[in-house]
Amino acid sequence: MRLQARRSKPWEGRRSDSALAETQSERCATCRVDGPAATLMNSSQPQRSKLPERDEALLSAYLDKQLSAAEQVSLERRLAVEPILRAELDGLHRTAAALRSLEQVRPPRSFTLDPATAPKPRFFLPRTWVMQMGSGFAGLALVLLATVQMLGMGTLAVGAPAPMAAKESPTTQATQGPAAAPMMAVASTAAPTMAVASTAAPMMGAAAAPAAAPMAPAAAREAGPVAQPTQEPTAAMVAEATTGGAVSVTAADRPEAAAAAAADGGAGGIVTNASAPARESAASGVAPPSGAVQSTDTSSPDTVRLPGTQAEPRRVVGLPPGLTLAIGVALIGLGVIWSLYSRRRG
Amino acid sequence: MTNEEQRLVEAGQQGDVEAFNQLVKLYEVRVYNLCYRMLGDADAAADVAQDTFIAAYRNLSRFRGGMFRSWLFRIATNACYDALRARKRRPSVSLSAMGDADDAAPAFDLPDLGETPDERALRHELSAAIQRGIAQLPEEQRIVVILSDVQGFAYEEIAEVTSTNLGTVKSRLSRARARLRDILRAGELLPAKFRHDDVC
Repeated sequence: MRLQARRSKPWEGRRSDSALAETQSERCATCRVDGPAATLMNSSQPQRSKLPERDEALLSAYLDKQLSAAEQVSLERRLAVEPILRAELDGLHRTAAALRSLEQVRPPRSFTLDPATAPKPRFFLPRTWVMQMGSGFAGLALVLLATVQMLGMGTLAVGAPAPMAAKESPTTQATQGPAAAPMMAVASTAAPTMAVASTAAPMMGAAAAPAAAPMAPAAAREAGPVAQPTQEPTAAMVAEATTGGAVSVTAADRPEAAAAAAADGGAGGIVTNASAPARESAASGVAPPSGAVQSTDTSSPDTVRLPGTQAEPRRVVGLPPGLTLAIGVALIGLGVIWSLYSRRRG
Repeated sequence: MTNEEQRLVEAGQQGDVEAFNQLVKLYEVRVYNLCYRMLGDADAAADVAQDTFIAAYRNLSRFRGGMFRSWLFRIATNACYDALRARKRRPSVSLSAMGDADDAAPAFDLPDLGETPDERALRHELSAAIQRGIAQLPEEQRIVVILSDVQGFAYEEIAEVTSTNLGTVKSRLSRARARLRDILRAGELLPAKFRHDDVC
């Protein structure tokens, strides 16, 4: 609105300005200085530009001959009919001329370097090279590392003894039972897996019990005093029923496995989390009270932890392979993006 | 870049200080003037110009072709920005500025030997007024108007020095000129003799 009001009567301001200039020139004829700065200072233009910024930009580019032919023709046409535009161009022209007329300032001293004290030049690897190749190589290395980690885990899985294999093939477990069972009973830390193995293979219980027996007393001795009162009935029954250790068998579904194991292993008591009849049948076999078995895992009724073992998942040292792989791929991607970016910049 | 300049740059990259000093002599006046117009202080400008050449020599191996002048002025521009930032953080008063004004004033070249002392004084006064106007511009507009109108750089080279694009250079230059024109028209920075409201 304000701009429109000003534009609607452009002659008013200009007339008063030019009148003022005339008066000024009459009064101060001796004070006037020559040159672009002086003409700018003696200018009778209003102090604030009335033009929109776009027109200012056009005028500035026009001064430097940076407009296209079409833009130039269009602007010159406007200049012919718009006195305000022409006045602003004149002001800009004077300003630029005043700046160009600034004389050079002489440096107070020379800035040449003294060869004796000049700093040593640094030698850098180009940043582009570092960004592209460095991140690419680092990414490749991480991908390789992740591959090796994954392959290593695969080898472990293939070479793993009973606990892991039991999940896959009960039949295989049955055949490997005697040899693998001790490891299950003592060394294995994967109690849930063992429980699964037990429930999956009725034959295995029978095969495993004798083999586990020699190991069981030692384990029971270690854990004997630590009987938990949280499961008092079960713990009491277990204390009565077992003799030298325990192999966990989930006999709820397959009581015959527990019974067979109890009957076969005199020293190898079997603890079950099964229902009462099954447990009683297992306990009624042999019951020399030489050890205790505790069941501390209240969350999983099918699982009984062996004493002296820790039911923690297998720890993986370092980054997981998936994360390593992701970081490697990200680094390779970064290198490619940087390469494309620097190529685009030229 | 001329062949001679190219040769000097390559020799400087090999650690030849004398060759680099040839480049210093070639550009020291322009670099110093850029610093002086940006900072408005002769002593600070000399320090920044010296720092610029030291930094240029130390990092000469980073220069990978193109225009050496643009590369050098980019270093000078960044050094000026650093000096201005440091000045904002730790405002200080120059000791020389507290003394005699004539001692603190920079030494200008004398373009016309036939110039009278009055004319010379007037020219210096005008120059100082324009410098005060430049100092009122925002830094990013100031550097563009100095490079364009004082140093005579082309738009493309200004864009290279300031690490911006052509559109930004054009708009900053336009705003800087318009603002400077308004400042000078206001006349407050001008010597009293040149103001409109001055009664003779």
